[in-house]
Amino acid sequence: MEEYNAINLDGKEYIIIKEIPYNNVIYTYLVEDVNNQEFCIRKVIKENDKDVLVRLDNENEFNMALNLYNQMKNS
Amino acid sequence: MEEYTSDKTFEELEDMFSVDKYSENRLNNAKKESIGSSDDKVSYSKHKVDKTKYMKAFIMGGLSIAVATIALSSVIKLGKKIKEDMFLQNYSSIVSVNTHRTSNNEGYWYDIDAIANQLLQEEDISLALYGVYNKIGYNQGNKNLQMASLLNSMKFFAEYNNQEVKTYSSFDDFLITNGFVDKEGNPSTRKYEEAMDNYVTKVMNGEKLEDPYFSKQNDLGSRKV
Repeated sequence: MEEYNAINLDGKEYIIIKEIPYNNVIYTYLVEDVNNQEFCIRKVIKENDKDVLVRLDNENEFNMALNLYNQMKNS
Repeated sequence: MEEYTSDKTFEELEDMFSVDKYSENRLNNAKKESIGSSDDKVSYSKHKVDKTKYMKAFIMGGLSIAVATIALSSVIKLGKKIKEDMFLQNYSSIVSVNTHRTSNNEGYWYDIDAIANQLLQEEDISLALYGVYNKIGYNQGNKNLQMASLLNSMKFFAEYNNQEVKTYSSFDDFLITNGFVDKEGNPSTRKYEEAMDNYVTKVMNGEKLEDPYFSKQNDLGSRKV
């Protein structure tokens, strides 16, 4: 059986499309399961040796993460 | 649509992140969903889901993704910066492999002499030094201190080995000698970064250039790249 990696966020299930390590964090690209028009980006940081998913700091970081995805996809 | 067996759908889903292929609304929603307080955190615990179930759901939800080209000049500039970072990554890794934990395990220290020796073996020391500059130090002040030690160490080893390269006694000496100064004549890292970004772009475009700041052939001071 083929499977996706997924996580639960705010009571919704998101498929993990890609994870890209950059500048000491891992940017995680998520698409909501049913309403596939919606996507979001979070980052994984280490906190007490555990992986924690947090929101991005600002629009600059969002644009940077989006570009990072595009660069990786096209490279 | 009952069955879907191709992987194409997943690729199309990946396209949802493509800079050129989303509507302004989707972009704004994505921003809203992505940006926020760092206190809003959840444990990153993944689970597996059946791919076929979601293939069907994605198809049912419709993949007629609105296409809109959004002129995001800042995004394009950031894209250039990311490309440059990746290009310089080999040189930045000189710092990574020479970064060590302190004995009490609470901090880090750089093996400056090892970094200096490795830099002196590079074909284009200016380029390698910029990769190191991008990586070293935990803030600009610390970066400048580390660079000062590094250039001093490079001078020592180059002279010790009678290596035919230009040397500098400190980072300030490097900046001033090469004309990276502000209106008052003070050393300017911003000017250095601008010049090196320009240089990196040329190298990335395949131009063959002489090492601008370390080659004896370029012993002209204040040389612009």
